[in-house]
Amino acid sequence: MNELTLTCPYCGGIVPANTTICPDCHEDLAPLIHLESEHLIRYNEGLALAREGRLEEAKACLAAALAHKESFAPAHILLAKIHAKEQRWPEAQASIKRALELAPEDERARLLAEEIQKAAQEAEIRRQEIARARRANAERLLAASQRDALKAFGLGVGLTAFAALLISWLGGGKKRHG
Amino acid sequence: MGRTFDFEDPFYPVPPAAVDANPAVAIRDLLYRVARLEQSLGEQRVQAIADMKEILLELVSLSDDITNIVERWGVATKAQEAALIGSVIALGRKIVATLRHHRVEPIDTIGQPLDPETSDVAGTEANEHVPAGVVLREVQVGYKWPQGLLRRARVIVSSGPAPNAQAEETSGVAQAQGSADEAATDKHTSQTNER
Repeated sequence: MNELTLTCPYCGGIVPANTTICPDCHEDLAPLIHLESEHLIRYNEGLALAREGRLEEAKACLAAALAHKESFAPAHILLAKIHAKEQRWPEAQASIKRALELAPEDERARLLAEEIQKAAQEAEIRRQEIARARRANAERLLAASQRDALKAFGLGVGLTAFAALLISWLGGGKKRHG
Repeated sequence: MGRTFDFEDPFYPVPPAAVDANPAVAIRDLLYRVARLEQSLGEQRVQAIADMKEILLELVSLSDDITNIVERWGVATKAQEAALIGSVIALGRKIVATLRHHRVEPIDTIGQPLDPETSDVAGTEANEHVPAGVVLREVQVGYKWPQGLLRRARVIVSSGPAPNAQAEETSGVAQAQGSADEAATDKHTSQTNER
């Protein structure tokens, strides 16, 4: 974790990371540090919200962090994780790809990219299996309904023929009595 | 789903005062401070110009005094006098160089029509050869500098040809005498005023 050090714009002195007051000229640099570390503040907010499970709000904070500093790789990594949690694999892959572009030597990002890739593939396989199962189910249902329709048709034809025979037989009997 | 998707990333340390700071308020305060500094700077600049003008007027006056001394002294008859006059002249040149360095330039008035923007009329003289309203000579040299007019010139202006020769002669003598007196008085007055 790199610490922020600042050069005082008033006197040119070095301001340590843990303070907002210039040790040389005693000017309050808090607003300047706020502006300089706006992306970190937004990132921290996003991380806290993500830990609470408020993913939509976390994404908004990370978008704000990236609006301030697009090259801030940790925000892309965290965004990729949130997308992965939501199983939005294309978005997760896009975010982690950008993070790797910005920090190609980041081992954490590389592992996450692999994990996302694996999870995305598994999700794709699962999706295909589900689709296949649905298709098979639909086909089975269609075949059953076709069979039922055929049976019903046969029964209908038989009943119709029987009814015709019955009517003709009844008609022949009346003529004979007459 | 593996542990990689857990949100265990560390927070970035930012001083709490910086998190709570309102940059808009700070920028407003800064702009206010800048405005006050600009105003102060403007006032200081005006004061500096006024101070510089005062110093340059002193130098101009000193230069006039040295010129008068040299003119009054005339030709030196002794070596000691000549050395003294030479030193005074060198001092005068240094003062002129200093004035030039500060871009103080004498206003060219002689032979020019009177410019009321830069010159005051100290007197008039009849002159056959010079048309009326044209400056004949300077009682006090005027100076300009980058900020404008440093010192107004005081000049004798031609009033054109005299009505008749006798009158011209009479008035010429009287006026010559008068103007000489006037010039002396003017010089004395101007030096006193400048000081």
